[in-house]
Amino acid sequence: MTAVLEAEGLGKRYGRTKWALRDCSLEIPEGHVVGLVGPNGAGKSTLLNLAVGLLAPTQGSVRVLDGVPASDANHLSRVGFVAQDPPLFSGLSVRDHLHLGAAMNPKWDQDLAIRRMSALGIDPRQRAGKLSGGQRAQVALTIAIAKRPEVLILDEPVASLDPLARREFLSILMETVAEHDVSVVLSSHLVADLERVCDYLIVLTASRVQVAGEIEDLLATHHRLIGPRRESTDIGVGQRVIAARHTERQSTLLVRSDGPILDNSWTIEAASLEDVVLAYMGQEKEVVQDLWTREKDES
Amino acid sequence: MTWLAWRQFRNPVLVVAVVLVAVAIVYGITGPGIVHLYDTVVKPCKANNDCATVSASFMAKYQTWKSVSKLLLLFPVLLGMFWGAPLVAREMETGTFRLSWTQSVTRRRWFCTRVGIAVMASMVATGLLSLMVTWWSRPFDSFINFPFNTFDQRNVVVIGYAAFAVTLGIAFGALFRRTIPAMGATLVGFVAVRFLITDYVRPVLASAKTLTAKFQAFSTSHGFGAQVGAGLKQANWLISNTIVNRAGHVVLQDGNINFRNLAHGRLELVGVGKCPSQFLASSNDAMPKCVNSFHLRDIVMYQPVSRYWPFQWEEMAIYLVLAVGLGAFSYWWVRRRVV
Repeated sequence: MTAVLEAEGLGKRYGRTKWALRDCSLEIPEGHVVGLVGPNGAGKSTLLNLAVGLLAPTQGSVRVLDGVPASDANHLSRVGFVAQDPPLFSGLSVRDHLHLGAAMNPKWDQDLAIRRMSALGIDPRQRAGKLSGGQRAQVALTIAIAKRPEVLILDEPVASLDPLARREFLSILMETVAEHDVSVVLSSHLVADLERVCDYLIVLTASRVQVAGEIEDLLATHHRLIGPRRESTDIGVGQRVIAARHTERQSTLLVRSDGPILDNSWTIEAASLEDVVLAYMGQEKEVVQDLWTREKDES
Repeated sequence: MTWLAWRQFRNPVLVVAVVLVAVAIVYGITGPGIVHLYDTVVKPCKANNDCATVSASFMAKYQTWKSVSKLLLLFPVLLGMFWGAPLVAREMETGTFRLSWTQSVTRRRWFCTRVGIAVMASMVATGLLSLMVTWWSRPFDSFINFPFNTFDQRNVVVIGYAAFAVTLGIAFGALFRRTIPAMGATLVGFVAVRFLITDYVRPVLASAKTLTAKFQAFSTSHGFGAQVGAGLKQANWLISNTIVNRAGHVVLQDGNINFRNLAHGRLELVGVGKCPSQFLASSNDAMPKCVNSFHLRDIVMYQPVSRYWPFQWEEMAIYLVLAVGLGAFSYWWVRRRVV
């Protein structure tokens, strides 16, 4: 299996001290719709901008489709990108944007572009500045798809859309993936959206990959354990507690386990994807809480 | 890529095209009249060496339209502000660089195409305007016969200004990533560089020639006068004019002569010394005679009019070199540093 995206010790610093991404290593396999999820500031957007060559790494390296991002016209033609709040030329019409795509991409599929625009009921004469948020996103997606890339990278494409436009956008994205042989990397902080379209998930917090894997596997190996309150969360070999929550009488654990859970004092429930994601995101919070504790001790 | 570059550039080009056409119309209408006036009124007066009265009336003609030719002074910096500054900055401001730079076109090609078109178009537009202004003003220019006075509003040097202004705008736009500050910086930067080069570089493009003559004062019907400028012909560009005494010390600048009255009717030539005692304020011709008694010399530094065209090309070349440097800097900045 080759990787669509491979980062090693990747870092991006703004100014002297502000790291947007630091020491990030990950590998995204080909042939998936990959969801990249994490809290704001985790470095998702920075990672994806590095992956399409809009940013240059401060340290480490990133490779996409086994090549340096934006290194030449050929490599650029293999990667489609939809940026956050998809930017369009507000003075140019929709037709101009398709013309732009045709003029700037050798593998451009004008038929596909026209078909999609007409199916969406977007007027070719309309200026991009007058389009709704959903339509803008659709035009941006169309340009990215009609260039016929091998991998499609989307940076929070639905973040600014209302629920209806969001659903429509994602379903069109799914159709496209089904129709063309294209890998997708999609960042979002909305788990529900990702669950609808992705089959592979990466949880990124503070530049670290907390967990990565096929969603099916993640759901099969993560469980919610509910039982009487106990301090010790040591629950056996081959099992890892990702998150623990205690009330006065009860403890709830989120556990990763490859085998069955043997301790039958626990009530075992299937974990939802949201449970899993939040549990891994919460790990970061613990690190931060540790820092505050240390701060308090020192003072 | 060329398509997008032209599409983004269409409206700015249209605006400039309208301006050029308007100037062409104005000049097309008024130009022949000026030539006619020159041929029928000015030429005969020159032949008869009697242009004093004609001069005022001829030069007063077309005052309004003459200000159009001043447009050529502003034109390059306007192009720098409205074509150059937004070129990179607007893409940054609106985020459209994320669209432009992720198509199958390298950033290098994107930059070279857009910048190339803008710079070429600015040079062509300015060249055309200069051609029109130079043609229309020719009767006045040849009447005044002092080409260095309008050096930066005629011929080819303005083409260099345009290339410089536009690349300066592009560089500031890339640096600031915001259009309005980039426009302001372009205006300030352009004016500063123009002043520096006009005042400190143009006069020394070639070492100035020197002309020395006796500084002679003489009586006139109104009092007295002196020939200043060592007999230098008008068309030449006077750089400096100093008057030195016999020891070679500079005593007067630009031939300004002032006398002061001393006790007992004696006179003093200010900056030079007391007049000899025989030239009393009461006596006739005392002042010119006093001046001549000092045996002053007039030293003139000048650039001969024959250097007008070499200077045009050289100054244009300086600005083109600056433009290439700014273009290279902007490319490097956009490639490595931006975002």
